[in-house]
Amino acid sequence: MIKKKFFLALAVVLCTIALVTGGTFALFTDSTSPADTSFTAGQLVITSERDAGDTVPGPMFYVTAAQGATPSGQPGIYPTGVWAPGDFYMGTLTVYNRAPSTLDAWLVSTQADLQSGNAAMADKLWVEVFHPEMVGSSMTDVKIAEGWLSTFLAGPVAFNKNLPCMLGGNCQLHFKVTFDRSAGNDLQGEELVVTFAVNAVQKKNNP
Amino acid sequence: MKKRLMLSLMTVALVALLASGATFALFTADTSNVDNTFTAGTVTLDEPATTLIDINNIAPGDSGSFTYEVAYTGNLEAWLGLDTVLNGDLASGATPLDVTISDGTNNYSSNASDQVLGRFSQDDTVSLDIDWSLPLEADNDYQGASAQLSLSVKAVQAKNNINAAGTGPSSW
Repeated sequence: MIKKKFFLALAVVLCTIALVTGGTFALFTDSTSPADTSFTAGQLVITSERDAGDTVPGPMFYVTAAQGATPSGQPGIYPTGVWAPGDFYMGTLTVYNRAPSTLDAWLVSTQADLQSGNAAMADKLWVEVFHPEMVGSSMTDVKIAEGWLSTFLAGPVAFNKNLPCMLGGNCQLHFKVTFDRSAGNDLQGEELVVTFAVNAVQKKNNP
Repeated sequence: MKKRLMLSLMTVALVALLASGATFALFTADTSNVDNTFTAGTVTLDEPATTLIDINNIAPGDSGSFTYEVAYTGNLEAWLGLDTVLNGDLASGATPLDVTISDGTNNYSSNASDQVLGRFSQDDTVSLDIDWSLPLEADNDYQGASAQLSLSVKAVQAKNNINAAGTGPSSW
């Protein structure tokens, strides 16, 4: 009984001393810092080059070899020459989906932008866009869009089906332009310069 | 309970979005192919493409000649054609004025249209020799009569325009 009282008293004294001296009780503890969490959006980037058997930068359609020259000075090898009503020519555009792009893409439409010249000519230039694909056992040009060039100048012309252009891959488009036979003499000697553009949208979450 | 409330709230929000016609913005990209050039060619003749020649004050047995030249100046290859009209009292009747037209290789009628002169390139020239004569047998009915010869050269693009025989245009 006396011993018990003694130890109790001792504990109280020790506690008091600890409190008076400002001592703290150290308990076992541990903690984790949450790992840094960041969110980065992907990037959709497509580029293109004309393809006449060898992809190079430069316009698909050009009248002289000099007009079709690449930025490095390599002349175009398939100039159209001046156009006569009834003429038609094909151009090929290879579209790439590669770094810094990080997402798969759908190619969805194409359009034209007027750079210079007589826009009236666009009413007599018929544009057809094809996608080469296997039909049965042979490679076939499947038409995906068409219209007067003036329609393409007015805004995007949607493809009749979205074309997959997967990350790291490419997609080829064939452009056929025909100068209509009904083009009148008022267009003799006239010139039109346009930019053709291809539009893409993300494929993820967008079936 | 809380889970049900959150789910309900999300459903309401989604329906509201759909009802208001809100669109979802997806990532897009585009690529351009610049400087596509389309230049129309030309089909042009130098002046004069048409000439009118008066033949008058001639007597039976008289003859003469002159040359008619036209340059083709267009940058597209073209078919050139000849239209001729010979009229007047001196050119009709029993012993009319006789007119021959030739390019040195072929003869052409003095009264016909769409006669093919050939296929020409830029800066080529068509040269026609016109010979005329009034027969000695022409009688007094021809006194004071006159005639006019009209020569007209025309051009049409040769590209995408050739007849089945390959000898001229399918259309003027």
